[in-house]
Amino acid sequence: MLNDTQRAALTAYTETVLPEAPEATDQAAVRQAVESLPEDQQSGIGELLAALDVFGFTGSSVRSRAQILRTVSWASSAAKTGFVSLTELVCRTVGQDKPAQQRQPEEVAR
Amino acid sequence: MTTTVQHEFFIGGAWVPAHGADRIQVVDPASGTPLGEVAGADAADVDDAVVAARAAFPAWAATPLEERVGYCTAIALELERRLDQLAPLITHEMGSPIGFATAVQVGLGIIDMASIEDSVQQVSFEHEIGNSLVVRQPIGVVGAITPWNYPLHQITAKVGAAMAAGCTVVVKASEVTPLAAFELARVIEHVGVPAGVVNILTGYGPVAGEAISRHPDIDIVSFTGSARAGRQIAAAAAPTLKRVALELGGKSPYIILDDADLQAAVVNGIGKAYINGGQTCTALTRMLVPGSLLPEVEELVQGVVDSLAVGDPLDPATAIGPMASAAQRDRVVDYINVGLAEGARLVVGGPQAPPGLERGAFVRPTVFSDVNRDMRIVREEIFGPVLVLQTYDDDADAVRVANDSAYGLAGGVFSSSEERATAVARELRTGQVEVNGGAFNPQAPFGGFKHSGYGRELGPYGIEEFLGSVAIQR
Repeated sequence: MLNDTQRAALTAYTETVLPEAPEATDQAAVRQAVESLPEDQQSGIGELLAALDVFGFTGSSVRSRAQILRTVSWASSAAKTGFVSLTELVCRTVGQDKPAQQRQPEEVAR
Repeated sequence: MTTTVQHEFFIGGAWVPAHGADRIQVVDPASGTPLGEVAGADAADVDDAVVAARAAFPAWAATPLEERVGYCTAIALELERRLDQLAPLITHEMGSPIGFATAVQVGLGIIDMASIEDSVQQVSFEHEIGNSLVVRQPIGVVGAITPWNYPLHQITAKVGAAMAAGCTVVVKASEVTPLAAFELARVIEHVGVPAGVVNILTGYGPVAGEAISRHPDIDIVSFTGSARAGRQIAAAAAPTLKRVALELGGKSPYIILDDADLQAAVVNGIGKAYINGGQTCTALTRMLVPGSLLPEVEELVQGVVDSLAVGDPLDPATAIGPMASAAQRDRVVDYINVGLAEGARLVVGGPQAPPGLERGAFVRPTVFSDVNRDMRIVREEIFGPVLVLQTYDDDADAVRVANDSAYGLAGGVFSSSEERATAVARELRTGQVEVNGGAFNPQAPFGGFKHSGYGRELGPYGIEEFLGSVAIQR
Protein backbone atom coordinates (compact mmCIF):
# COMPACT_ATOMS: atom_id res chain seq x y z
CA MET A 1 0.00 0.00 0.00
CA LEU A 2 1.18 3.49 -0.79
CA ASN A 3 1.57 5.92 2.08
CA ASP A 4 -0.02 9.38 2.08
CA THR A 5 3.03 11.08 0.61
CA GLN A 6 3.26 8.54 -2.20
CA ARG A 7 -0.46 8.83 -2.89
CA ALA A 8 -0.19 12.58 -3.13
CA ALA A 9 2.76 12.20 -5.48
CA LEU A 10 0.78 9.71 -7.60
CA THR A 11 -2.10 12.16 -7.88
CA ALA A 12 0.34 14.89 -8.91
CA TYR A 13 1.97 12.49 -11.37
CA THR A 14 -1.37 11.68 -12.99
CA GLU A 15 -2.26 15.37 -13.21
CA THR A 16 1.10 15.97 -14.88
CA VAL A 17 0.98 13.30 -17.56
CA LEU A 18 -2.76 13.68 -18.09
CA PRO A 19 -3.47 17.29 -17.09
CA GLU A 20 -6.90 17.25 -18.77
CA ALA A 21 -8.23 14.35 -16.70
CA PRO A 22 -7.74 15.08 -13.01
CA GLU A 23 -11.18 13.94 -11.90
CA ALA A 24 -11.37 12.23 -8.55
CA THR A 25 -12.73 9.03 -10.06
CA ASP A 26 -9.72 8.73 -12.37
CA GLN A 27 -7.35 9.36 -9.48
CA ALA A 28 -8.99 6.66 -7.40
CA ALA A 29 -8.82 4.25 -10.31
CA VAL A 30 -5.13 4.97 -10.83
CA ARG A 31 -4.37 4.48 -7.16
CA GLN A 32 -6.29 1.22 -7.16
CA ALA A 33 -4.44 0.07 -10.25
CA VAL A 34 -1.07 0.74 -8.60
CA GLU A 35 -2.10 -0.89 -5.34
CA SER A 36 -3.30 -3.96 -7.23
CA LEU A 37 0.14 -4.57 -8.72
CA PRO A 38 2.36 -7.35 -7.39
CA GLU A 39 4.22 -6.31 -4.23
CA ASP A 40 7.62 -5.82 -5.89
CA GLN A 41 6.22 -3.57 -8.64
CA GLN A 42 4.16 -1.63 -6.13
CA SER A 43 7.24 -1.17 -4.01
CA GLY A 44 9.24 0.07 -7.01
CA ILE A 45 6.59 2.64 -7.87
CA GLY A 46 6.44 3.66 -4.22
CA GLU A 47 10.19 4.30 -4.22
CA LEU A 48 9.91 6.30 -7.43
CA LEU A 49 7.13 8.47 -6.01
CA ALA A 50 9.04 8.97 -2.76
CA ALA A 51 12.09 10.04 -4.79
CA LEU A 52 9.99 12.62 -6.63
CA ASP A 53 8.86 14.03 -3.32
CA VAL A 54 12.50 14.88 -2.54
CA PHE A 55 12.38 17.35 -5.43
CA GLY A 56 9.18 18.99 -4.16
CA PHE A 57 7.19 17.33 -6.94
CA THR A 58 3.77 17.38 -5.32
CA GLY A 59 3.82 21.04 -4.38
CA SER A 60 5.14 22.22 -7.74
CA SER A 61 3.30 23.64 -10.72
CA VAL A 62 2.42 21.25 -13.55
CA ARG A 63 5.19 22.81 -15.67
CA SER A 64 7.75 22.29 -12.94
CA ARG A 65 6.55 18.74 -12.34
CA ALA A 66 7.01 17.91 -16.01
CA GLN A 67 10.51 19.39 -15.80
CA ILE A 68 11.29 17.33 -12.69
CA LEU A 69 10.25 14.17 -14.55
CA ARG A 70 12.55 15.07 -17.46
CA THR A 71 15.42 15.94 -15.14
CA VAL A 72 15.13 12.82 -13.00
CA SER A 73 14.89 10.71 -16.17
CA TRP A 74 18.29 12.04 -17.24
CA ALA A 75 19.77 11.38 -13.81
CA SER A 76 18.64 7.78 -13.51
CA SER A 77 18.00 5.18 -16.17
CA ALA A 78 16.04 3.11 -13.64
CA ALA A 79 13.78 6.09 -12.91
CA LYS A 80 13.32 6.68 -16.62
CA THR A 81 12.17 3.09 -17.10
CA GLY A 82 9.90 3.42 -14.06
CA PHE A 83 8.28 6.57 -15.44
CA VAL A 84 7.56 4.86 -18.75
CA SER A 85 5.88 1.94 -16.97
CA LEU A 86 3.93 4.15 -14.59
CA THR A 87 2.77 6.44 -17.39
CA GLU A 88 1.60 3.43 -19.41
CA LEU A 89 -0.32 2.19 -16.39
CA VAL A 90 -1.91 5.60 -15.78
CA CYS A 91 -2.88 6.00 -19.44
CA ARG A 92 -4.28 2.48 -19.62
CA THR A 93 -6.32 3.00 -16.46
CA VAL A 94 -7.75 6.33 -17.55
CA GLY A 95 -8.34 5.18 -21.13
CA GLN A 96 -5.80 7.35 -22.90
CA ASP A 97 -3.38 5.79 -25.35
CA LYS A 98 -0.51 8.20 -24.59
CA PRO A 99 0.42 11.00 -22.19
CA ALA A 100 -0.29 14.64 -22.97
CA GLN A 101 3.39 15.35 -23.60
CA GLN A 102 3.39 12.94 -26.54
CA ARG A 103 0.19 14.22 -28.12
CA GLN A 104 -0.43 17.02 -30.56
CA PRO A 105 -2.21 20.10 -29.13
CA GLU A 106 -5.42 19.28 -31.00
CA GLU A 107 -5.44 15.81 -29.44
CA VAL A 108 -5.08 17.25 -25.94
CA ALA A 109 -7.95 19.63 -26.59
CA ARG A 110 -10.28 16.79 -27.34
CA MET B 1 37.75 6.58 3.49
CA THR B 2 41.20 5.49 2.43
CA THR B 3 43.75 8.21 1.83
CA THR B 4 44.35 8.97 -1.85
CA VAL B 5 47.71 10.02 -3.19
CA GLN B 6 47.55 11.41 -6.70
CA HIS B 7 50.65 13.04 -8.11
CA GLU B 8 49.65 12.56 -11.75
CA PHE B 9 47.35 14.49 -14.06
CA PHE B 10 45.11 13.14 -16.79
CA ILE B 11 46.75 14.49 -19.95
CA GLY B 12 46.55 13.12 -23.46
CA GLY B 13 44.61 10.06 -22.30
CA ALA B 14 47.29 9.00 -19.81
CA TRP B 15 48.23 9.64 -16.19
CA VAL B 16 51.27 11.89 -16.40
CA PRO B 17 53.47 12.75 -13.38
CA ALA B 18 53.40 16.39 -12.33
CA HIS B 19 56.46 18.43 -13.23
CA GLY B 20 56.80 20.24 -9.95
CA ALA B 21 57.01 19.28 -6.29
CA ASP B 22 54.00 21.31 -5.20
CA ARG B 23 51.71 19.13 -3.06
CA ILE B 24 48.20 19.93 -1.86
CA GLN B 25 46.50 18.27 1.11
CA VAL B 26 42.85 17.36 0.70
CA VAL B 27 40.97 17.47 4.01
CA ASP B 28 37.57 16.18 5.14
CA PRO B 29 35.92 19.35 6.47
CA ALA B 30 33.59 17.46 8.79
CA SER B 31 36.44 15.97 10.81
CA GLY B 32 39.56 17.85 9.72
CA THR B 33 41.23 14.54 8.87
CA PRO B 34 43.34 14.15 5.70
CA LEU B 35 41.66 12.55 2.72
CA GLY B 36 44.52 12.65 0.31
CA GLU B 37 47.36 14.47 -1.33
CA VAL B 38 47.50 15.71 -4.89
CA ALA B 39 50.10 17.49 -6.95
CA GLY B 40 49.57 21.12 -7.82
CA ALA B 41 49.99 21.86 -11.51
CA ASP B 42 52.45 24.47 -12.72
CA ALA B 43 52.70 26.28 -16.06
CA ALA B 44 54.60 23.36 -17.61
CA ASP B 45 51.82 20.91 -16.70
CA VAL B 46 49.25 23.29 -18.15
CA ASP B 47 51.32 23.59 -21.30
CA ASP B 48 51.47 19.79 -21.68
CA ALA B 49 47.70 19.62 -21.33
CA VAL B 50 47.17 22.38 -23.90
CA VAL B 51 49.51 20.64 -26.36
CA ALA B 52 47.49 17.44 -25.94
CA ALA B 53 44.18 19.27 -26.34
CA ARG B 54 45.41 21.16 -29.40
CA ALA B 55 46.67 17.95 -31.03
CA ALA B 56 43.33 16.22 -30.42
CA PHE B 57 41.22 19.14 -31.66
CA PRO B 58 41.16 18.59 -35.46
CA ALA B 59 40.08 14.96 -35.27
CA TRP B 60 37.56 15.63 -32.50
CA ALA B 61 36.05 18.59 -34.34
CA ALA B 62 35.68 16.34 -37.39
CA THR B 63 34.11 13.50 -35.40
CA PRO B 64 30.41 13.21 -36.28
CA LEU B 65 28.11 14.93 -33.79
CA GLU B 66 26.29 11.68 -33.02
CA GLU B 67 29.57 10.07 -32.03
CA ARG B 68 30.56 12.96 -29.79
CA VAL B 69 27.14 12.85 -28.15
CA GLY B 70 27.54 9.09 -27.74
CA TYR B 71 30.63 9.64 -25.60
CA CYS B 72 28.70 12.08 -23.40
CA THR B 73 25.92 9.54 -22.94
CA ALA B 74 28.47 6.86 -22.09
CA ILE B 75 30.04 9.14 -19.47
CA ALA B 76 26.58 9.73 -17.96
CA LEU B 77 25.90 6.01 -17.72
CA GLU B 78 29.28 5.31 -16.14
CA LEU B 79 28.82 8.14 -13.63
CA GLU B 80 25.45 6.65 -12.77
CA ARG B 81 27.08 3.25 -12.29
CA ARG B 82 29.58 4.82 -9.90
CA LEU B 83 26.99 6.90 -8.02
CA ASP B 84 27.43 5.02 -4.74
CA GLN B 85 31.16 5.65 -4.86
CA LEU B 86 31.06 9.26 -6.04
CA ALA B 87 28.44 10.64 -3.66
CA PRO B 88 30.29 9.68 -0.44
CA LEU B 89 33.53 10.91 -2.01
CA ILE B 90 32.01 14.36 -2.51
CA THR B 91 30.49 14.27 0.97
CA HIS B 92 33.92 13.57 2.43
CA GLU B 93 35.68 16.03 0.15
CA MET B 94 33.50 19.09 0.62
CA GLY B 95 30.89 18.28 3.24
CA SER B 96 27.69 18.12 1.19
CA PRO B 97 25.10 16.03 3.05
CA ILE B 98 24.92 12.58 1.51
CA GLY B 99 21.36 12.95 0.24
CA PHE B 100 22.26 16.18 -1.53
CA ALA B 101 25.53 14.74 -2.78
CA THR B 102 23.64 11.81 -4.31
CA ALA B 103 20.67 13.61 -5.84
CA VAL B 104 22.29 16.92 -6.78
CA GLN B 105 26.08 16.85 -6.69
CA VAL B 106 26.40 13.61 -8.66
CA GLY B 107 22.88 13.77 -10.07
CA LEU B 108 23.62 17.03 -11.87
CA GLY B 109 26.89 15.63 -13.16
CA ILE B 110 24.99 12.77 -14.76
CA ILE B 111 22.27 15.11 -16.05
CA ASP B 112 24.82 17.45 -17.65
CA MET B 113 26.10 14.57 -19.74
CA ALA B 114 22.83 12.68 -20.31
CA SER B 115 20.95 15.76 -21.49
CA ILE B 116 23.49 16.59 -24.20
CA GLU B 117 21.68 14.27 -26.60
CA ASP B 118 18.56 16.40 -26.24
CA SER B 119 20.35 19.77 -26.08
CA VAL B 120 22.19 19.34 -29.39
CA GLN B 121 18.80 19.01 -31.10
CA GLN B 122 18.14 22.62 -30.08
CA VAL B 123 21.39 24.02 -31.47
CA SER B 124 21.49 25.30 -35.01
CA PHE B 125 24.89 24.16 -36.26
CA GLU B 126 24.12 25.35 -39.77
CA HIS B 127 21.53 27.66 -41.28
CA GLU B 128 21.02 30.09 -44.14
CA ILE B 129 20.57 33.88 -44.06
CA GLY B 130 19.96 35.32 -47.55
CA ASN B 131 22.79 34.12 -49.75
CA SER B 132 24.90 33.11 -46.74
CA LEU B 133 25.41 29.67 -45.34
CA VAL B 134 26.18 30.17 -41.66
CA VAL B 135 28.22 27.32 -40.26
CA ARG B 136 28.88 27.22 -36.55
CA GLN B 137 32.24 25.67 -35.82
CA PRO B 138 33.87 24.60 -32.56
CA ILE B 139 35.89 27.47 -31.16
CA GLY B 140 38.93 25.33 -30.37
CA VAL B 141 40.59 24.52 -27.05
CA VAL B 142 38.59 25.35 -23.94
CA GLY B 143 40.29 26.20 -20.66
CA ALA B 144 37.84 25.34 -17.87
CA ILE B 145 38.57 26.64 -14.39
CA THR B 146 36.12 25.21 -11.88
CA PRO B 147 35.24 25.80 -8.22
CA TRP B 148 34.86 23.54 -5.20
CA ASN B 149 31.18 23.97 -4.37
CA TYR B 150 29.91 21.51 -7.01
CA PRO B 151 33.10 19.58 -7.74
CA LEU B 152 31.61 17.29 -10.37
CA HIS B 153 28.75 19.26 -11.91
CA GLN B 154 30.81 22.40 -12.48
CA ILE B 155 33.20 20.33 -14.58
CA THR B 156 30.65 18.22 -16.45
CA ALA B 157 28.62 21.33 -17.34
CA LYS B 158 31.61 22.74 -19.19
CA VAL B 159 33.11 19.47 -20.49
CA GLY B 160 29.82 18.07 -21.82
CA ALA B 161 29.03 21.28 -23.70
CA ALA B 162 32.57 21.55 -25.06
CA MET B 163 32.61 17.93 -26.23
CA ALA B 164 29.25 18.35 -27.94
CA ALA B 165 30.46 21.52 -29.67
CA GLY B 166 33.54 19.69 -30.97
CA CYS B 167 36.02 21.44 -28.69
CA THR B 168 38.76 19.86 -26.63
CA VAL B 169 39.25 20.85 -23.01
CA VAL B 170 41.85 21.52 -20.34
CA VAL B 171 40.21 21.47 -16.91
CA LYS B 172 41.82 23.07 -13.88
CA ALA B 173 39.77 21.62 -11.04
CA SER B 174 39.65 23.30 -7.66
CA GLU B 175 42.55 22.39 -5.39
CA VAL B 176 40.01 22.05 -2.54
CA THR B 177 38.07 19.25 -4.23
CA PRO B 178 40.29 17.51 -6.79
CA LEU B 179 39.37 13.91 -5.97
CA ALA B 180 35.95 14.00 -7.62
CA ALA B 181 37.57 15.60 -10.68
CA PHE B 182 40.09 12.79 -10.97
CA GLU B 183 37.28 10.25 -10.59
CA LEU B 184 35.62 11.92 -13.57
CA ALA B 185 38.91 11.58 -15.44
CA ARG B 186 38.88 7.84 -14.71
CA VAL B 187 35.32 7.66 -16.07
CA ILE B 188 36.39 9.49 -19.23
CA GLU B 189 39.32 7.11 -19.58
CA HIS B 190 37.07 4.10 -18.94
CA VAL B 191 34.57 4.96 -21.67
CA GLY B 192 37.35 5.54 -24.18
CA VAL B 193 37.03 9.21 -25.03
CA PRO B 194 39.85 9.82 -27.52
CA ALA B 195 43.14 10.89 -25.97
CA GLY B 196 43.55 14.62 -25.45
CA VAL B 197 39.88 15.53 -25.82
CA VAL B 198 39.54 16.03 -22.07
CA ASN B 199 42.57 16.78 -19.89
CA ILE B 200 42.20 17.25 -16.15
CA LEU B 201 44.63 18.69 -13.66
CA THR B 202 44.40 20.63 -10.44
CA GLY B 203 46.37 23.36 -8.77
CA TYR B 204 46.19 26.86 -7.38
CA GLY B 205 44.45 29.64 -9.26
CA PRO B 206 47.38 32.08 -9.28
CA VAL B 207 49.60 29.37 -10.81
CA ALA B 208 47.61 26.91 -12.95
CA GLY B 209 44.58 29.13 -13.45
CA GLU B 210 46.79 32.02 -14.47
CA ALA B 211 48.70 29.76 -16.90
CA ILE B 212 45.43 28.71 -18.56
CA SER B 213 44.17 32.29 -18.77
CA ARG B 214 47.39 33.54 -20.38
CA HIS B 215 48.04 30.55 -22.65
CA PRO B 216 48.16 31.61 -26.32
CA ASP B 217 46.86 28.28 -27.57
CA ILE B 218 43.66 28.29 -25.53
CA ASP B 219 40.74 29.83 -27.41
CA ILE B 220 38.27 30.41 -24.60
CA VAL B 221 38.41 30.38 -20.83
CA SER B 222 35.24 29.31 -19.07
CA PHE B 223 35.45 30.17 -15.41
CA THR B 224 33.12 29.66 -12.48
CA GLY B 225 34.04 31.26 -9.17
CA SER B 226 34.33 34.57 -7.40
CA ALA B 227 34.03 38.02 -9.00
CA ARG B 228 37.52 38.85 -7.74
CA ALA B 229 39.06 35.84 -9.52
CA GLY B 230 36.90 36.53 -12.57
CA ARG B 231 38.42 39.98 -12.95
CA GLN B 232 41.93 38.54 -12.70
CA ILE B 233 41.15 35.89 -15.30
CA ALA B 234 39.63 38.38 -17.73
CA ALA B 235 42.68 40.62 -17.33
CA ALA B 236 45.12 37.73 -17.80
CA ALA B 237 43.23 36.54 -20.88
CA ALA B 238 43.06 39.97 -22.52
CA PRO B 239 46.53 40.07 -24.15
CA THR B 240 45.77 36.91 -26.14
CA LEU B 241 42.29 38.18 -27.07
CA LYS B 242 40.73 34.88 -26.17
CA ARG B 243 37.07 34.65 -25.35
CA VAL B 244 36.13 34.58 -21.68
CA ALA B 245 32.94 33.25 -20.11
CA LEU B 246 32.49 34.12 -16.45
CA GLU B 247 29.92 32.62 -14.12
CA LEU B 248 30.55 34.52 -10.91
CA GLY B 249 28.90 35.19 -7.61
CA GLY B 250 25.58 36.50 -6.45
CA LYS B 251 23.65 38.15 -3.66
CA SER B 252 20.33 37.00 -4.89
CA PRO B 253 16.95 38.38 -3.84
CA TYR B 254 13.89 36.33 -2.95
CA ILE B 255 10.72 38.40 -2.91
CA ILE B 256 7.77 37.23 -0.86
CA LEU B 257 4.75 39.16 -2.10
CA ASP B 258 2.02 40.19 0.33
CA ASP B 259 -0.48 37.62 -0.96
CA ALA B 260 1.84 34.64 -0.53
CA ASP B 261 1.27 31.61 1.66
CA LEU B 262 3.93 32.73 4.13
CA GLN B 263 4.72 29.31 5.54
CA ALA B 264 5.26 27.81 2.07
CA ALA B 265 7.21 30.87 0.95
CA VAL B 266 9.51 30.78 3.97
CA VAL B 267 10.14 27.03 3.74
CA ASN B 268 11.06 27.40 0.07
CA GLY B 269 13.14 30.51 0.73
CA ILE B 270 15.18 28.97 3.52
CA GLY B 271 15.78 25.90 1.35
CA LYS B 272 17.08 28.07 -1.49
CA ALA B 273 19.17 30.26 0.81
CA TYR B 274 20.88 27.34 2.51
CA ILE B 275 21.22 25.04 -0.49
CA ASN B 276 24.54 23.20 -0.22
CA GLY B 277 25.13 25.01 3.06
CA GLY B 278 24.67 28.32 1.27
CA GLN B 279 27.73 27.53 -0.85
CA THR B 280 25.86 28.00 -4.10
CA CYS B 281 26.26 30.99 -6.38
CA THR B 282 22.49 31.16 -6.94
CA ALA B 283 21.60 30.93 -3.23
CA LEU B 284 18.71 33.29 -2.51
CA THR B 285 20.40 35.03 0.41
CA ARG B 286 18.30 38.19 0.61
CA MET B 287 14.69 37.54 1.61
CA LEU B 288 12.51 40.55 0.81
CA VAL B 289 9.26 40.80 2.75
CA PRO B 290 6.54 43.44 3.10
CA GLY B 291 7.42 45.59 6.12
CA SER B 292 4.08 44.86 7.77
CA LEU B 293 4.70 41.10 7.62
CA LEU B 294 8.25 41.15 8.97
CA PRO B 295 7.44 40.00 12.55
CA GLU B 296 5.42 37.05 11.24
CA VAL B 297 8.12 36.12 8.74
CA GLU B 298 10.82 36.32 11.41
CA GLU B 299 8.88 33.90 13.58
CA LEU B 300 8.37 31.48 10.70
CA VAL B 301 12.02 31.75 9.65
CA GLN B 302 13.21 30.97 13.15
CA GLY B 303 10.99 27.89 13.30
CA VAL B 304 12.16 26.57 9.95
CA VAL B 305 15.85 27.21 10.66
CA ASP B 306 15.61 25.62 14.12
CA SER B 307 14.19 22.49 12.47
CA LEU B 308 17.22 22.03 10.21
CA ALA B 309 19.61 19.29 11.28
CA VAL B 310 23.21 20.49 11.22
CA GLY B 311 25.87 17.85 11.60
CA ASP B 312 27.43 14.71 10.18
CA PRO B 313 27.04 14.96 6.39
CA LEU B 314 27.00 11.18 6.09
CA ASP B 315 23.80 11.04 8.17
CA PRO B 316 20.85 11.00 5.73
CA ALA B 317 18.87 13.21 8.12
CA THR B 318 21.41 16.04 7.96
CA ALA B 319 20.31 19.16 6.10
CA ILE B 320 23.45 21.25 6.53
CA GLY B 321 26.92 19.77 6.77
CA PRO B 322 30.19 21.58 7.35
CA MET B 323 31.52 24.34 5.13
CA ALA B 324 33.82 22.96 2.43
CA SER B 325 36.94 23.95 4.35
CA ALA B 326 38.08 25.52 7.60
CA ALA B 327 39.04 28.62 5.62
CA GLN B 328 35.48 28.92 4.30
CA ARG B 329 34.09 28.42 7.81
CA ASP B 330 36.31 31.24 9.08
CA ARG B 331 35.19 33.51 6.25
CA VAL B 332 31.50 32.90 7.00
CA VAL B 333 31.96 33.38 10.75
CA ASP B 334 33.83 36.62 10.06
CA TYR B 335 30.84 37.85 8.06
CA ILE B 336 28.46 36.97 10.91
CA ASN B 337 30.64 39.02 13.25
CA VAL B 338 30.69 41.85 10.72
CA GLY B 339 26.88 41.78 10.64
CA LEU B 340 26.72 42.05 14.42
CA ALA B 341 29.26 44.86 14.42
CA GLU B 342 27.25 46.69 11.74
CA GLY B 343 24.23 46.63 14.02
CA ALA B 344 22.11 43.97 12.36
CA ARG B 345 19.85 41.95 14.66
CA LEU B 346 20.19 38.17 14.89
CA VAL B 347 16.92 36.33 14.35
CA VAL B 348 18.58 32.96 14.71
CA GLY B 349 22.12 31.54 14.64
CA GLY B 350 25.32 33.39 15.40
CA PRO B 351 29.09 33.14 15.17
CA GLN B 352 29.56 30.28 17.65
CA ALA B 353 29.99 26.74 16.33
CA PRO B 354 26.89 24.57 16.64
CA PRO B 355 26.94 22.68 19.96
CA GLY B 356 29.08 19.53 19.77
CA LEU B 357 30.42 20.44 16.32
CA GLU B 358 33.42 22.54 17.32
CA ARG B 359 35.93 20.25 15.60
CA GLY B 360 34.78 20.40 11.98
CA ALA B 361 34.12 23.37 9.70
CA PHE B 362 30.54 23.83 10.91
CA VAL B 363 28.60 27.09 11.02
CA ARG B 364 25.25 27.80 12.65
CA PRO B 365 22.62 28.67 10.04
CA THR B 366 22.07 32.35 10.65
CA VAL B 367 19.45 34.96 9.82
CA PHE B 368 19.78 38.71 10.28
CA SER B 369 17.03 41.31 10.39
CA ASP B 370 17.08 45.11 10.85
CA VAL B 371 19.60 45.44 8.05
CA ASN B 372 20.20 48.30 5.65
CA ARG B 373 21.50 48.49 2.11
CA ASP B 374 24.95 49.70 3.12
CA MET B 375 25.80 46.75 5.31
CA ARG B 376 28.41 44.35 3.97
CA ILE B 377 26.21 41.36 4.88
CA VAL B 378 23.58 42.81 2.52
CA ARG B 379 25.93 43.70 -0.32
CA GLU B 380 28.63 41.02 -0.35
CA GLU B 381 28.48 37.35 -1.21
CA ILE B 382 29.12 35.33 1.96
CA PHE B 383 28.86 31.80 0.53
CA GLY B 384 27.53 30.19 3.66
CA PRO B 385 24.23 29.71 5.51
CA VAL B 386 23.63 33.39 6.22
CA LEU B 387 20.36 35.03 5.22
CA VAL B 388 19.32 38.66 5.56
CA LEU B 389 15.71 39.86 5.79
CA GLN B 390 15.01 43.10 3.94
CA THR B 391 11.70 44.96 3.84
CA TYR B 392 9.83 46.76 1.09
CA ASP B 393 6.66 48.84 0.69
CA ASP B 394 5.01 47.68 -2.54
CA ASP B 395 5.82 45.60 -5.65
CA ALA B 396 7.73 48.42 -7.31
CA ASP B 397 9.77 48.96 -4.16
CA ALA B 398 10.44 45.21 -3.97
CA VAL B 399 11.89 45.31 -7.48
CA ARG B 400 14.01 48.34 -6.55
CA VAL B 401 15.41 46.65 -3.43
CA ALA B 402 15.97 43.38 -5.32
CA ASN B 403 17.91 45.08 -8.11
CA ASP B 404 19.92 47.19 -5.67
CA SER B 405 22.93 44.89 -5.91
CA ALA B 406 26.22 44.75 -7.73
CA TYR B 407 25.30 41.20 -8.66
CA GLY B 408 22.62 39.81 -10.96
CA LEU B 409 22.75 36.04 -10.97
CA ALA B 410 19.49 34.69 -9.56
CA GLY B 411 16.25 35.66 -7.94
CA GLY B 412 12.94 34.33 -6.76
CA VAL B 413 9.38 35.54 -6.35
CA PHE B 414 6.65 33.88 -4.30
CA SER B 415 2.98 34.79 -4.58
CA SER B 416 -0.45 33.17 -4.65
CA SER B 417 -0.72 34.59 -8.17
CA GLU B 418 1.69 33.12 -10.70
CA GLU B 419 0.78 35.96 -13.07
CA ARG B 420 1.67 38.64 -10.53
CA ALA B 421 4.87 36.84 -9.53
CA THR B 422 5.89 36.49 -13.17
CA ALA B 423 5.29 40.19 -13.76
CA VAL B 424 7.66 40.98 -10.89
CA ALA B 425 10.14 38.36 -12.12
CA ARG B 426 10.31 40.11 -15.49
CA GLU B 427 11.59 43.25 -13.74
CA LEU B 428 14.55 41.56 -12.06
CA ARG B 429 18.01 42.04 -13.55
CA THR B 430 19.18 38.52 -12.86
CA GLY B 431 19.98 35.61 -15.15
CA GLN B 432 17.63 33.19 -13.45
CA VAL B 433 14.39 33.78 -11.58
CA GLU B 434 12.25 31.11 -9.96
CA VAL B 435 8.57 31.74 -9.49
CA ASN B 436 6.88 29.95 -6.57
CA GLY B 437 9.80 27.55 -6.28
CA GLY B 438 9.79 26.62 -9.97
CA ALA B 439 11.98 23.59 -10.62
CA PHE B 440 15.59 24.00 -11.70
CA ASN B 441 15.90 23.41 -15.43
CA PRO B 442 19.30 21.99 -16.40
CA GLN B 443 18.80 23.06 -20.02
CA ALA B 444 17.87 26.68 -19.33
CA PRO B 445 20.55 29.35 -19.84
CA PHE B 446 22.60 29.82 -16.69
CA GLY B 447 24.62 32.96 -16.06
CA GLY B 448 24.31 36.48 -14.85
CA PHE B 449 24.25 40.22 -15.30
CA LYS B 450 26.53 42.86 -13.80
CA HIS B 451 29.21 41.49 -11.45
CA SER B 452 27.78 37.99 -11.78
CA GLY B 453 29.62 37.73 -15.07
CA TYR B 454 28.83 37.11 -18.71
CA GLY B 455 28.25 34.13 -20.95
CA ARG B 456 25.75 31.36 -20.43
CA GLU B 457 26.09 27.70 -19.50
CA LEU B 458 23.90 24.59 -19.68
CA GLY B 459 21.69 23.13 -22.37
CA PRO B 460 21.91 24.49 -25.91
CA TYR B 461 23.15 27.86 -24.59
CA GLY B 462 26.17 26.19 -23.02
CA ILE B 463 27.02 24.43 -26.27
CA GLU B 464 26.64 27.65 -28.26
CA GLU B 465 29.15 29.34 -25.94
CA PHE B 466 31.82 27.12 -27.50
CA LEU B 467 30.88 27.74 -31.14
CA GLY B 468 32.01 30.39 -33.59
CA SER B 469 30.05 31.42 -36.70
CA VAL B 470 31.43 31.31 -40.23
CA ALA B 471 29.35 33.01 -42.94
CA ILE B 472 29.84 31.59 -46.43
CA GLN B 473 28.42 33.86 -49.13
CA ARG B 474 27.42 32.09 -52.34
